[in-house]
Amino acid sequence: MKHIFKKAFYKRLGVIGTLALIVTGILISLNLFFALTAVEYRQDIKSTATISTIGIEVFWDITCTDLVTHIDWGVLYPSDIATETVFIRNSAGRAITGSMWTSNWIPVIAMDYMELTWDFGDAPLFPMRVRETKFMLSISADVENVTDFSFDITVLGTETIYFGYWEEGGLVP
Amino acid sequence: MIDIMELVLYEIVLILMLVAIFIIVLIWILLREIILVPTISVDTDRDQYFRGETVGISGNLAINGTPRPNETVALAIQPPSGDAYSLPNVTTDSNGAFSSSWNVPSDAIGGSYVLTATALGISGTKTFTRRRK
Repeated sequence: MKHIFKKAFYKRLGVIGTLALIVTGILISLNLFFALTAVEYRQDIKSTATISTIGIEVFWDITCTDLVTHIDWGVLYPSDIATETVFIRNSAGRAITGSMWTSNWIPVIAMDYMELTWDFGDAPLFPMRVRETKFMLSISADVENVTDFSFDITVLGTETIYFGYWEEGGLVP
Repeated sequence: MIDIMELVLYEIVLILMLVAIFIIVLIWILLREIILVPTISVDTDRDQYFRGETVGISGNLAINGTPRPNETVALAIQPPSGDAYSLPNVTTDSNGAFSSSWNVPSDAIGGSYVLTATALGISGTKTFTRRRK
């Protein structure tokens, strides 16, 4: 009788132990999964744009902690439009307007098939204000002989003196 | 004879399982020490404000539950539309706490505003409302 009881006890203990092992295994797997997926993975791609700024700051985040120095456009195909969202801050003492241009295309022929635009707009950016802005890189459908490419983007903030106030749609005198 | 063998087998399996659980718990504890998990919380003193009123901002920064002093916290406020407001950076005190304030501008539009605080690569948000009079 005692022997049967002991056997049953060990069987039950074995089942409980197995369940505990499975649950612990699942927990540790989840912990490892979240820990590993939290690490950012970036592909090593050569289609990049280096950003330089004059009188203005460009960041990846709205709180302006992560400065944008270059943009990886990833792998692009003919007719693609690649978009990157950045945040532009005016740290100057006056309102500014923004302008942007590209230069140093490598290879030079790449600039014939690609166009960079942004949606910063004409409205002045006031001091210590941050504007969410999209850069859009359009690739021509008939692009050829361009595999890897790179170029520079210059973002210029120009101090603006204006009279009146700005509303959606334009300046109100 | 079979019963004895079975019992010995159960004993071995049980010991192995206990050893495995011990090792897993040990790895779990070590991982928690190695992987630093920062957390940030941010709050406002009220949920609704009128133009000209001051928004009181407070928050806490911690790593694995331990307060993190002397860290820079960046703050920004996104209105319902238009450009966001960039607030001066603040530093956490010995308890990992930080505070700031923001005066609701006289031309602030009505609607929901999102306050964002960023430190150590993580962000926390709090939404408040600019009430229409």
